[in-house]
Amino acid sequence: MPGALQLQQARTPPDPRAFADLYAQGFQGVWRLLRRLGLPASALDDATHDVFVIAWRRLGDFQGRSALRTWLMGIAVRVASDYRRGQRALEPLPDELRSTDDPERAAREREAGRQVLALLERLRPERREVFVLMELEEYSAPEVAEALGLNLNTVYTRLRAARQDFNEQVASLQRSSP
Amino acid sequence: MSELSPEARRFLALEDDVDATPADEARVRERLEVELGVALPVAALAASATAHALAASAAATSGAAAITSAGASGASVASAAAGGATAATVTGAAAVASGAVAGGATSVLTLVVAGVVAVAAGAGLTTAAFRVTQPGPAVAVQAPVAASPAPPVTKQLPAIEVDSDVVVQPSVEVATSDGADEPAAPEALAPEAAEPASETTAASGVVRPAAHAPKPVGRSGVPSGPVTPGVPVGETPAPGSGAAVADGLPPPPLLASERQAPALPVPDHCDRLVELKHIDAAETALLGAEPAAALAQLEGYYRTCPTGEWHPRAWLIRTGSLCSAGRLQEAAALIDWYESEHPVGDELLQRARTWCPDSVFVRHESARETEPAE
Repeated sequence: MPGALQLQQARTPPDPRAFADLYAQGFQGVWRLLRRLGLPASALDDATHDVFVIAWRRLGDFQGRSALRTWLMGIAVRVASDYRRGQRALEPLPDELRSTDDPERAAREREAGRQVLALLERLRPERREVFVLMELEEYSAPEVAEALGLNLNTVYTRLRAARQDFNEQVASLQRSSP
Repeated sequence: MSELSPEARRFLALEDDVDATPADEARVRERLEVELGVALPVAALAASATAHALAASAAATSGAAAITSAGASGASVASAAAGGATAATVTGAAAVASGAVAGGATSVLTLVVAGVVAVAAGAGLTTAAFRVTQPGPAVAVQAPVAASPAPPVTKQLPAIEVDSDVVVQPSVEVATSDGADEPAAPEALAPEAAEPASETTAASGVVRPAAHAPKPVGRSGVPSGPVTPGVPVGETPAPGSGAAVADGLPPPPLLASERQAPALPVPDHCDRLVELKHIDAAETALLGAEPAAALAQLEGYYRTCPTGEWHPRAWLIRTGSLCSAGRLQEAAALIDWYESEHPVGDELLQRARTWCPDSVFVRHESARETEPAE
């Protein structure tokens, strides 16, 4: 991976215990966030791995200025951004990730789930990051600002624009549906 | 600020199944463990942190939690409740591997660079010490002192070279723990070997397998240091107890030779939890600025798990411990060996820099730079 992954080793040796806890509690959130940020299913393994490798390297220097969870999500957003530069295609979720007793309902949900991700994909990347973190991951605006290194006003501006875009896309989709 | 429309909110609510499956988690975890050399617990796949926290108490009382990993610290236990609705993190390593120590079972594994490998078939080797005497053409492992000694099985290993300039100390006697004070061993561990070990010796020196051999290490005058008795798994020598460690550790090249001889029996009790407990104890000692204790733990690890999966991690801890203890020449030799095994470098090699000064690496880096490119 390029760019953001070329990080220097933290000068302070990482604490394996802290890292193990971080992994145990943060894995699912990282995976989900990467998916929502548009990474195809085929890239999730690698991207999630990269997030935790970076976290490992930098954990020793974590200053505690933000919550560990927020810090980890910031890494995930940057990793996703790196991946998206090379991989724009959005793959449908593999069927094996979904299971239900009602095949018909499952098919509808599967399609809807794909459409959600497809609509998210149409958002500008910088807006999508804020939108996903706040609307889906339920981070606060200050947390997002901290994780992404943005001004708080910028966060609100992007959120507003993303919401507007998303509303329009949903309306358009409904109009086009039979 | 504009809000999401109700339609958009309903639409977003349809978005699901973006969570990782246990199989996804396992793939990533195993990869991280190998590459970072860190033992990781199974990640909580619960939907929210709240559920995670609530499940912790529930799992602790219901007994439904499955210990999935001791983690690098043995600190995390994740419940494997069906449906993924619960997950728990419980602090404390004791629950994970308590009882995983072979109490009362002690054997002696004597390593002699002399001639023949003799391995006790069926004997549980739980603690041992090593003796490296004179450089010779082959490695001999003699086993063991056990209550019901099985006839040794003799097996020839490939010849192992010893650097000519390695200073080999005369045999030093040490007492080994007979494990008398340890808790009863679970069935997972070898039950035999009641007699205390009789003698163990150690010396410093890098033993190189012929296959990788011979850049001379040039380590003259390597201090051998005192020898540490076998330390019970999970324990560290008390400060000031005189249980210092030293060169009783089997040198890494021996591990390479073991890989070349896959028929070498692996003790049944060397499962992942046992390995993790050794590694965790060593790492804890290192992080606690007790490198001698870390080396003592690794000594036990190498004996118990001669072909364990965590040798790369053990290498890192051992290298870090040697650097922390100021034994830079020995650390340099370990790095030299590791680089010969991993010529393109890897994460562990980078991490060794967090413990060791750059000077330890200088020789190797300059050597690489002068090597002709392929």
